[in-house]
Amino acid sequence: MAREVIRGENLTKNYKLGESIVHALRGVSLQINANEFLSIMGPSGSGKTTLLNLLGALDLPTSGKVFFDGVDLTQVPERKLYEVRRKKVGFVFQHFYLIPTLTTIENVFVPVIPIRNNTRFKSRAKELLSTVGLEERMNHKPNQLSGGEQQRVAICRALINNPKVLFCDEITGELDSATGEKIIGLLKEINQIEGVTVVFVTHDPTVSSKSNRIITLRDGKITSDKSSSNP
Amino acid sequence: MNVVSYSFKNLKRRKMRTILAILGIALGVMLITSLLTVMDGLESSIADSLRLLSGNLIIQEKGSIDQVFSIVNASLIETLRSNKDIKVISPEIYVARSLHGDGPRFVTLIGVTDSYAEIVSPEYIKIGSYFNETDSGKIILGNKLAGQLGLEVGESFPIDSANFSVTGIFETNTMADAIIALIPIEDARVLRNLSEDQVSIIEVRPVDPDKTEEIESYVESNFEDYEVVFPEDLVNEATEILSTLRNTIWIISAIAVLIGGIGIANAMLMSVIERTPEIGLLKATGWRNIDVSNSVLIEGLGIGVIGCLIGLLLGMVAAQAAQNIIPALTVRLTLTTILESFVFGVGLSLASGVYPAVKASRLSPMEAIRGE
Repeated sequence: MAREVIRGENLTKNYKLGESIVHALRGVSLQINANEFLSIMGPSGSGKTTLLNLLGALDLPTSGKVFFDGVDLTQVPERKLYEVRRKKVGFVFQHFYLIPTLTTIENVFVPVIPIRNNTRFKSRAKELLSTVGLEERMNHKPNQLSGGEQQRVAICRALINNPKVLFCDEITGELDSATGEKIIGLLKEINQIEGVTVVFVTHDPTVSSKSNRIITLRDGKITSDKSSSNP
Repeated sequence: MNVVSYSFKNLKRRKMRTILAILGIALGVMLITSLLTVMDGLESSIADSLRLLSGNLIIQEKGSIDQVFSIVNASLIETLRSNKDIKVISPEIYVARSLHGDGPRFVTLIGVTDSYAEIVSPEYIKIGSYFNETDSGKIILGNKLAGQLGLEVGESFPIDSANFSVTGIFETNTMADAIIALIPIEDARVLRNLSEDQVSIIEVRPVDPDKTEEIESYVESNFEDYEVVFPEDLVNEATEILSTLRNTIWIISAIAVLIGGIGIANAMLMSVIERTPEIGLLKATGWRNIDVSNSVLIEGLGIGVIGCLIGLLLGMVAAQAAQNIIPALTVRLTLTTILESFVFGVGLSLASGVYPAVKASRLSPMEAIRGE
């Protein structure tokens, strides 16, 4: 039986937008198992990113529970959530958010900068960069890299701390389709080689078709949850 | 790579903004350092003056604002000789003149007799020696004054129509070194245009330092036109003025550094606002609130330390320049001044970083990434 990594129970999330309240999620329940390669689909405003943020400990639900490795995140004090972010998850965003003053390898290093004796992560950073084919570009600044290269750096950054789950939010959004496809291929490789659970949000059916399981959201609710054995 | 090196790299992002913030704090610290250096110089010069003159009394014309304007009848000298409490009597004639070296130098020429050597010890004359009171056309210069006029012992130069040759150069480490010259009393009488029975002041030294008050009351009760001035009183008065001045300097400098601090706070705040999504990313990747605030504080500290070092350096240069322009000014850089300026500047820079640091650390990762 597959081992559960994350479980969301009846998750709701409301935002205040001026005077009105936006119901971004309206009772979402799901379970994600280890080593899954899962995509979350849905139109704009369907709650995909909100769900990703709740599952990845970037935000807390208005109601409901999120269990990560059996720990209820809603019971963890806000100031302690960094431990989950630091040790268990990695995030990749649509805009790469590379730091312009840092080199490629330094950018990969960003999550572990505050950790003492972080030199031990150096070999990991180099290894990751060579996995994504950027070993020749370690000392380049972000403005010397193409969009696809920058996104690969961002993926390495998310993997530096050996996370259990990699969350990707519209990461092909700023890339042309060929580069986007390569990036998804890379994620698949990482999923298989590193054994990392990958959860990615996309509104592009071509991209989501590469995953083993597609969850579709509409108006803050799951409308379908399909597994396919062959992407 | 650690938080410190990350923070220092951030300072390079907006170089001009960082430079301006550094300049803001540097100018404040420069002001503190230069003014305190001059103050310390003045205080030490006054302390040296006290050592030079303490124990003496000056008898001058009542109400005269400066010894240059005082006129005392020379017959008083004979009367004072009968006073058993007085050990040394030194009549002096003060003359204000402008001498020409590289430019005009305003000096006070003091016409003295042989007894002056008992008032101010000959050991202060570093080169040459005292003249005899019967000599004419002799002069002893302060070392700074001699330097400015480009004169050495043996050389001569004119004052009014008379020629004076340098017999000695004294060094007291006080303002006197730059503004005082000693000449024989009769030469001074001619320059000051006083008659035989007139001198400017009479300086006396008591047999016993405890007898000063007796001498004071003796003079003031017998000669109503004269008053007794204690160099200590003048020194104390000057010290009091300097102490008020020191407080004023601190207030002005504090305001200047505060403005520099506001500059840092503004630069840091702008930097935090601009980097909101990046700070969101840092938090999303597991940075703690304290890691984020530390990185911002370190940036402020970096600006503060660099600014303070530059300010200290500029302050020393400014104080030295002031001394070159005003030779009578003695500057003295003390470790206390360096530490006070540095600690004050760095402390304020650190304090200026607190608000931006707290603001950055409290950002929610998700909202920050969205740039909210």
